[in-house]
Amino acid sequence: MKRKQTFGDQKNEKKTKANTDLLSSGNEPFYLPDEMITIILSYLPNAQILRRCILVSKQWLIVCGNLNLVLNTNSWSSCGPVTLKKRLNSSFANCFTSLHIEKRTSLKDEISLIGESKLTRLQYLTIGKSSINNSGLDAFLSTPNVSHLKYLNLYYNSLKSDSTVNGFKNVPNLETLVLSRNILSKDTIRVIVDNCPKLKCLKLAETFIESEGLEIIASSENMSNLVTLDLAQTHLLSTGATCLANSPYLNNLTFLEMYWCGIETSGIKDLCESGKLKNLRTLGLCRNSIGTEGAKYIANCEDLSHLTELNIGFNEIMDEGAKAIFESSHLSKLRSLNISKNKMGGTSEGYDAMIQCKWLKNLHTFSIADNTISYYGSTLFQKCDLSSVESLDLDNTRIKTSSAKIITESDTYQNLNDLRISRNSTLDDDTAQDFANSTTLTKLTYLDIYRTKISVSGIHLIKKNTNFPANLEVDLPFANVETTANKLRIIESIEEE
Amino acid sequence: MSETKQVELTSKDKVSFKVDRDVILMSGLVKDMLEEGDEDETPIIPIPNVDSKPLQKVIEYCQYHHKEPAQEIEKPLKGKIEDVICDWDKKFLEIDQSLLIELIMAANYLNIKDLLDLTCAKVASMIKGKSPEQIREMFGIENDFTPEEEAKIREENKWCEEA
Repeated sequence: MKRKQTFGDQKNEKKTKANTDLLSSGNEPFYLPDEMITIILSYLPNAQILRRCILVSKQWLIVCGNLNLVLNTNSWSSCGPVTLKKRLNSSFANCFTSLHIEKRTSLKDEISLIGESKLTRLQYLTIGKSSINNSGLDAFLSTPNVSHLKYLNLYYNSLKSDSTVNGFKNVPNLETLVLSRNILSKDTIRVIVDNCPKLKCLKLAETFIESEGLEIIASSENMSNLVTLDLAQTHLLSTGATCLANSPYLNNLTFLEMYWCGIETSGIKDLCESGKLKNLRTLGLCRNSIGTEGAKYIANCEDLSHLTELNIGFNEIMDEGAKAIFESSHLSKLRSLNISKNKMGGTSEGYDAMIQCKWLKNLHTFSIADNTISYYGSTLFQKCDLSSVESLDLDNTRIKTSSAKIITESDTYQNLNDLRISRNSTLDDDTAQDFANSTTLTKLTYLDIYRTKISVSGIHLIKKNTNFPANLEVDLPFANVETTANKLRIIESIEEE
Repeated sequence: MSETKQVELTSKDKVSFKVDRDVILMSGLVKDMLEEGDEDETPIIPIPNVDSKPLQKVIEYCQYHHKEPAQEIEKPLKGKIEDVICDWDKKFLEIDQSLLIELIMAANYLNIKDLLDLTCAKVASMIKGKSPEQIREMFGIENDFTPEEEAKIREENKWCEEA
């Protein structure tokens, strides 16, 4: 029988030799190879590794230097540039492959310190909310420490469109790039697209790149690997959606976010008919204007059969559109649906379809907030199969006490851990009493009763129900609690009871 | 007819263990070797790197966990390891330190990931909160830093409590 040499086996022999060089005694009976020390250290917090373990022996120091530790500087606000430089150049700086810097306003002048530091193994870098501008970023991206970067997050950094950041030429290995909340010039987008062919994830929320910016991305073969694309608030309009639909390359998207992009029915029609959505798992279209017709295009889109998460909230969808969605056989894999802030409730057909919906029982997260349910009353909650739902948002749906009662009594809602019945002004202490009597809601950890008529004594009643988890948080009903301090005082008085 | 197939393992100190094939398939090494097409009734597999004592423990572990898959241990460890593992594992780990280290080596050699994780996490739990001196003492590791080198690192890493 031939014996395969295993990974550990091979290494052991090599490392034993290395060990004799390192340790004068050489033949320690229970010497640990590097791989095993690595696994052991993976169970320890950074401080223990950096303060103690690296000092055990030279072998341990070397092993630590190959770990992938995260350096988080968020607590360094009081540390000036000299200290910063010292820390980034310590003899164990090479332990770190991830660096997080957030809210460091002086970073604009210190950014070169990172580039020229001993952080030579950086792969994951977040510099957020630190006002590094175009020239600061460009200078940083020309230092050698960026060459291994796979992940770069530069959200909210005052990047502007008045100059081109050519430094993106030096990060060809980037797989994830987050530029949300900056303004980007078309030329900067072009430099990224031309030089980062490994990009899988590109987040451009609030960059206002418009359809011209998206066109540069959509027409580049380099972007064929993109699976995650966040275009929230980029002012795409329907032309942007159409441009995405016509891209010859963006065929692998699994995540597409287009919150508040000004997309109308024509844009969503083109997208749904494009064949680009075949791999999509998440589609975010909240706060656009796709309307009832747009909802129908989504409902009839065969390509969306893998979709698990859909947000079409705030889209002027009427009952007929909601009906199409709930009747869709293509959306049967959905686990999360947000159809809030639309115009359901004018007729009963949307809710009738909801009762009949075959996949409603699969939903873990469901928001129908800001639609009018009152019309249907408690029947809806009796008849709908929401037996998997963990998070249910009924904010401002004009539900009555009878509806709330069903939720507190029916087995269907036993998986709920997050329930919002806020802004339903007819709910009062009768509802509180129903919650106090509930034996089914044993997983509830958050209950929002903001702007209901439930009183403090109502909250007392709810809190006394021992069927709820001990950590149940009940949000306060009062609209006019001015200060946080005030709010805290009320919460404390409730908890003391 | 459907008698369970067995495998015979021979330790470094030439002790033989008969084990159910299903049980020892938890070992990636043994699995690879058996897949190389041996039709013997009871194949004999030499384990030349592992003594009988740790091998016995390894078999004990596999006998329990091939039916009861181990739960992943969270990284970094919160509290002590005893707080996050099952009672059986707790009892299993009541062994002296030298056997624990031998077990780590055996789990690595035999390629049994869950056992390697468990034993390494146990060592991590023992190291937690210990000074470099105490760790060295625990494993009989010699301090090969010069006093200057040690002082330099100590000076440099003062801030690391906040890292």
